[in-house]
Amino acid sequence: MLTDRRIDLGTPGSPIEWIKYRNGHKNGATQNKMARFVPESEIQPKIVTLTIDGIEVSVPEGTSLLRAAALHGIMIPKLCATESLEPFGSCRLCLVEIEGKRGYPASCTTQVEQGMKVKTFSEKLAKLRRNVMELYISDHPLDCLMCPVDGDCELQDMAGAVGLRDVRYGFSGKNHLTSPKDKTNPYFTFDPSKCIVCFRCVRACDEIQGTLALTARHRGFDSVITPGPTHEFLSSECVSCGACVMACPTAALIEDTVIEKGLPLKSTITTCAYCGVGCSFEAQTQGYEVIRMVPYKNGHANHGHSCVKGRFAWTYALSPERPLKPLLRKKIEDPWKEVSWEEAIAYVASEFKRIADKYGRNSIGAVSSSRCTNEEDFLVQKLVRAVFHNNNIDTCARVCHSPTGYGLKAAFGTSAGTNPFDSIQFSDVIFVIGANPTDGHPVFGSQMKRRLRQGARLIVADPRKIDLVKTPHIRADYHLQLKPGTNVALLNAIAYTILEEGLEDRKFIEEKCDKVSFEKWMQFIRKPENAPEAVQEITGVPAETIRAAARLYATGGNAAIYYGLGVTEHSQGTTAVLAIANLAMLTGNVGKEGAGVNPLRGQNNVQGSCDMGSFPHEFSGYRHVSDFETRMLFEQAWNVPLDPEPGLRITNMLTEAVYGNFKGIYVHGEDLTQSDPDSNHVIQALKSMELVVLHDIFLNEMSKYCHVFLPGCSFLEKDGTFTNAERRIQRVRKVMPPLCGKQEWEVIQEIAQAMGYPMHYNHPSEIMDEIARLTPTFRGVSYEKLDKLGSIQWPCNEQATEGTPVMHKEKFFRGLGQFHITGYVPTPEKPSRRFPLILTTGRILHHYNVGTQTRRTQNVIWFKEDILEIHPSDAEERGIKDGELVEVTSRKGSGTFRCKITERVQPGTVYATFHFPESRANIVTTEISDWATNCPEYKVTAVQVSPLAKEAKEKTVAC
Amino acid sequence: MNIVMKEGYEDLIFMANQIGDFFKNYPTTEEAVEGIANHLRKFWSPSMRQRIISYVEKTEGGELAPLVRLAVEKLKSSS
Repeated sequence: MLTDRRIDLGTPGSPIEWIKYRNGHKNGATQNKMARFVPESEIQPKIVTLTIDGIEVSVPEGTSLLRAAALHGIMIPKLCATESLEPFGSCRLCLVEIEGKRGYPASCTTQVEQGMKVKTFSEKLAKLRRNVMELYISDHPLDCLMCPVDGDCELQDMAGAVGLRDVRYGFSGKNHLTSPKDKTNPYFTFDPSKCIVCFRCVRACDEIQGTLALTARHRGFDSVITPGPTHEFLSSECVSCGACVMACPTAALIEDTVIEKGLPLKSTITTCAYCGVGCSFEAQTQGYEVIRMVPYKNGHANHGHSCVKGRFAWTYALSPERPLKPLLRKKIEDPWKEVSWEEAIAYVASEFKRIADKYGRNSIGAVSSSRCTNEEDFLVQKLVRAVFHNNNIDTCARVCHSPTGYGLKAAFGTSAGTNPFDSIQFSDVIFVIGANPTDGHPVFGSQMKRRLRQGARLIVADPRKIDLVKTPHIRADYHLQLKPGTNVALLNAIAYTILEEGLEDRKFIEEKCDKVSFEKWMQFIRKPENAPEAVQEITGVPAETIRAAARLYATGGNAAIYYGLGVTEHSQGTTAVLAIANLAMLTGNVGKEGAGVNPLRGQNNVQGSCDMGSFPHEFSGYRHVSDFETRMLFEQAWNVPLDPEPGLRITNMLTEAVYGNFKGIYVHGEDLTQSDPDSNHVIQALKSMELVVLHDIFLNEMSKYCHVFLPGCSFLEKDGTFTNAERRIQRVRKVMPPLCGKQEWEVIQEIAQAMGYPMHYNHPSEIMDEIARLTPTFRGVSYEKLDKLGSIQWPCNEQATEGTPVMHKEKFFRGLGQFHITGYVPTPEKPSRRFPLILTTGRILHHYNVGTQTRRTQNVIWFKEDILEIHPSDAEERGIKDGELVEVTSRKGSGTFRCKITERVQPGTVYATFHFPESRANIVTTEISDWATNCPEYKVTAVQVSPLAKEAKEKTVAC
Repeated sequence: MNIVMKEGYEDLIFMANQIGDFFKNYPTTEEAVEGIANHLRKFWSPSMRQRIISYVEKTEGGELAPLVRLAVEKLKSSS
């Protein structure tokens, strides 16, 4: 039986413990103070020597007696203490005797002292502990054999450890045994009768998640844990991250799947398939049945924390809506016909060959997915380059972070973020622009909030009051509430201020940056049009606020920038990424802990899919297809001549299809009709093709226009690796056999073979070996090393055998950092009398992108439809009432949303989520895209909002 | 229907002018033109490059920004 809830106090693993380890054990600071990064060479922890039960032990100053004892194999009974949380001292079980000191202090809250003599066991201590346990058990149901956590209960363990044999008080007195259960949350149950009010759940919510949703109601014996402010979980402020369930030592908070099916018997460590944080999980199973997903305490990205999606919303993988056999039809008007794998693969191969023969080799191509593994993405681009004989390969990262790839490569030399997530613990200033970490990247959002509670300063640039602007114990120093589409103007004005006020880091620039590019950039940025006073009209942010934020960013200490799709999904997405890179170089905030430029990637493997050569112009490791040496390397390895010219991007493929030049596409793990802009254009393009192959786990919206459907695997059914937003490569491990019979890498390989190309791998590890052979930044990566180290942040090669957490430390990857001129160009999408409002879009916590996965889980209990936020004055002007359905119309089309009137958005701006196809968000958005990468401008659309006509409303409700 | 609509140049003209908007702030015309031409060379497929060249050949590039037109001509001379 698994014992994940009994936590070993010996090694750091949990978020708080890890921070203590870094800050406390290494440089002597306490976690409640602002920690500064201290180089390893300067760390000299003070060691304290004491005696515990006659054994001499030496531990760093600041260690608790409980931990010191545990580190030396002496386990003291405890209930309220756990390594994931700060000591609390409430359960009175971990009492000890200290020579020369009165009473029996709690060992969890007592720190070691030089020369201390401690006894952890004595007759007196044993009696005290038994008395304490007796009181706990006198108000606890004794149904252990029927209890969901029988065998995995710390209360049960401690009753055994203290030798409790009798309860003198009986069970007829006042008690909580009949308290009603709270079953409102769809994933876990709160049973107050089993609660020992140890506050672990409350502290987990405070310290780890940072939501502060739980508290204890009443006092003394009447104390009861409750979620505020509504006193029931579902409607409370609880975000269902599961930290409280993880922390509970009894069955008071327990997963419903454990209640229903019993405790799991096997655990497999794997990586979440939702956002770019890349949380490690233990997939806990009975046989091949997943019972629960528990965040892995030694996970390097999440340190034992999770969010509602990764922790609970994995049941889509078992959805009965998943087709498990290949489907085929010659015309999209025909019904689907189930066929064998052999027939499907033979048809796909022969059709691609026929089309290429008839229309030319450039008439076919593929789109790979940022949700799939590195190995699968590598194979898809290999299929296109080596078997299709062209470079018409693109990835869905095109529609999210392609500007990051372009911008950071141009400025720094690599298309990747600079710092690990943990680096934020050394940030003094955090600048969040165009990202909403508490919704989009919740586990990192919690880590960010921890640092902010410790005192780091915060600048938020966002058209909307995201939660970080004002949340318990956190308030942004500056909220630059800019108009959508004006990021570049704002960033230029910040740079202007820094230069004008002489706040730049000249030493860093002179030593590490290209002087010619800096001089040219300086001439540009000093133009009066970039002054905050000139820019305030454009952005709507007062000049003095821009100047104050610039001063804080430049002079506040280690300053880290975190950005998301609010930066990239613009007509100037790439320009904004370059402007962010300029700012970081200008202030010397690259190449050190606590700083950097850190893109928050939307999907689990955006970084990896880009690394694997999924763009039409470059091989794995971001090397252009025209580069002769690189191309020769691949030609020799793959034994086939390769095209030296860039291929078509998704947008270009679709346009060429409409013009009749592009006829066949293989789409792996992507829904072009929902994820790409201008759905009508996408549909027209798909209808123009002779072969559209979709390889996915669901018949998504796009499947309506497909000829072949190849069933795919969820992350629980495959082996491979994902690379998260901090360049961290982590293993995905198969927990159950593929429900459709084949892992996706096998299918890609079989298509290649059927087209006559010899592609033969026995396991994804062999694909990774090939990636390592052909990609300098992955040269040292192997499954063996991943199993040994747990994860690896690339570059991993001869110079960095275990990977590179912080990039550009000694010098930039490209040599000298390159400044770029970033002139502000307003988007062509402008408001007008007919479309007076600007629509911007974003994700919410409970749903993920177009909702294919989360809509098939119980997360719909929180949101079952998309929401449009509108300011009260805009709503009043249009006669719109809170909660009613509204129609949103743009120049491209219209959609229907449930309206929420709120001051989170400013007048003139509306905000919508895009998780439900019925709302038709992608019909509304425009075809305008980033100048450099064609990343669509999802964040700016001129719209009108109006109450939905009565008959349309009735129709929508009926649907 | 004019030649832009008829022969499907519309998207390419829009994209090329967007690229021109980025490079127009470069200090000299030469740098801006080289920047635009280099971008087209590195990121546009040969068929897209050929079509924008053919548009300039057929129409003298009337709807392209002057810098972009110069860049396409440079592309043509180097192709």
